[in-house]
Amino acid sequence: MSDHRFNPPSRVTLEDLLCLKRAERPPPEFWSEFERELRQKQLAALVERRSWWRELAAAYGRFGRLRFPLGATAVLALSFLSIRYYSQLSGESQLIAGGSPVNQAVALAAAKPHDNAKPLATAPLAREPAPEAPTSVSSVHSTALAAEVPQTTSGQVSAVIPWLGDVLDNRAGASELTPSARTIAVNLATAAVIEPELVDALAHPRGFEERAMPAVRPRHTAEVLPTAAAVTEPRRARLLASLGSAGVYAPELSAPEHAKRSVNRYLAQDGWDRSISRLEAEGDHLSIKF
Amino acid sequence: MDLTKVISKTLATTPERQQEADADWEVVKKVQAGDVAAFDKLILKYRERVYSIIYNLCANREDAADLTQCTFIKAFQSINRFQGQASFFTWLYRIAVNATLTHLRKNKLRTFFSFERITEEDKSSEIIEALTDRTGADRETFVKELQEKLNEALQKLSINHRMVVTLFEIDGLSHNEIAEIMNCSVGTVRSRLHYAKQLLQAELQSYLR
Repeated sequence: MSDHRFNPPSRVTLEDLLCLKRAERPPPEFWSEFERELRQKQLAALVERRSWWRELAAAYGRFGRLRFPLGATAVLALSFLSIRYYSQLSGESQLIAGGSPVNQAVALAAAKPHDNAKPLATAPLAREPAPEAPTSVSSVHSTALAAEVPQTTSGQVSAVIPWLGDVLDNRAGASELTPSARTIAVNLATAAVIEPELVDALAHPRGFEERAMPAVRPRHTAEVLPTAAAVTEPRRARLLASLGSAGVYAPELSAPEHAKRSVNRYLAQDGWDRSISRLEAEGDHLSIKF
Repeated sequence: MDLTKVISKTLATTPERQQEADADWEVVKKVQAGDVAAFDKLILKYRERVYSIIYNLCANREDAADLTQCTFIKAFQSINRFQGQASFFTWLYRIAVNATLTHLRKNKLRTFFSFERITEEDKSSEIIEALTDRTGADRETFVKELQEKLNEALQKLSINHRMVVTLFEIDGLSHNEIAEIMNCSVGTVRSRLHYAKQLLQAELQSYLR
């Protein structure tokens, strides 16, 4: 490259070389073509429908300096709304399935087990009408529920769900209800107040009448064991017989039976008389020694 | 805009630039009012300068033409957002620079150069004569080689350094204007310019006298 240059007349700096870049210009005909293409693109841009997210970005961009406060406000509002929504949901679910009224009822039942058990054990199992359902869930006050819940009995449960009431009655005839059974009863009564349709659907499932659940009577162990022994004795005999016929099992013989078999075996052999070493007759006994 | 920025801009802006900016603002207001044809004046006024910036950054005449057209279309589409806080040409340059940066980042691996012909005017002719006394075909060959070397040296710089050199040395913008376009401080512009010049001098040592 350096052989192209012959004694330059003056000093050439970097700025001079970069000045040559300014001289790199397109020919005049380039601009007519440029203008034609630009017109086409401008028209296409005018006709082109902008996508919704571009419109959104443009609208957001118009706010300029307010974008950060606006974004922060939007995030806060979303957080507030979501917290409010989920707290409402969790409040309702607590009210239905194990919220404060039920806990209060269980606590009361634990504090007074005899008082609470009495109506269950001695209740005449009358079908009491279900508590009147309010028009809306929000109108049910938690304190009212808490007042109703401790008085819940198997009678109320049977009024709500007949077959479950029968089961509870059978248990109640034998002994007190367990705490979990009491909790179930309280929950059902609460649910009957809050969601009568749901409890109604639970109480009368489709086809339930055809396959009604029989009342289960608890059986004592002393009753069960003799029956089990009686059942197993003939089975044992059957098993032994089958094993004996197969030759797997041979019971031990008694002494006379054993002697009889031995005598028969010797008498069946040829020349048995030669193997007799001693023969004695005494009264009605005959002793032979081989 | 910050008060310090306004003051520094006022102090740094020459009266010619200020007049130019005012004239542009009048045209922009017409376009914003619905006079679409008024935008053609702005295109005619700035197309060569915008093209020059883009061309010197990407060293490809076809890409430069496309990006220049895109720059004007984007400017037209968002002219209603221009509030006159900066001068129109700074705003337009910023659109051009951003479009070029996006293009260069997208096509980092695809580098294809195509150069414009150097038009020999008084200044460029003097420089070429200072470098060679050849005439005719030999001179043309030498000029082409010099052009290729110059572009190669520029392409070896990073995008930011190349941009500073292009805007300052080739387009003749001030440090303040470059800082505003590149959205950085004047000190950064100066340091980038210094570093870029050092690199270019090392690359083009054989041509410097």
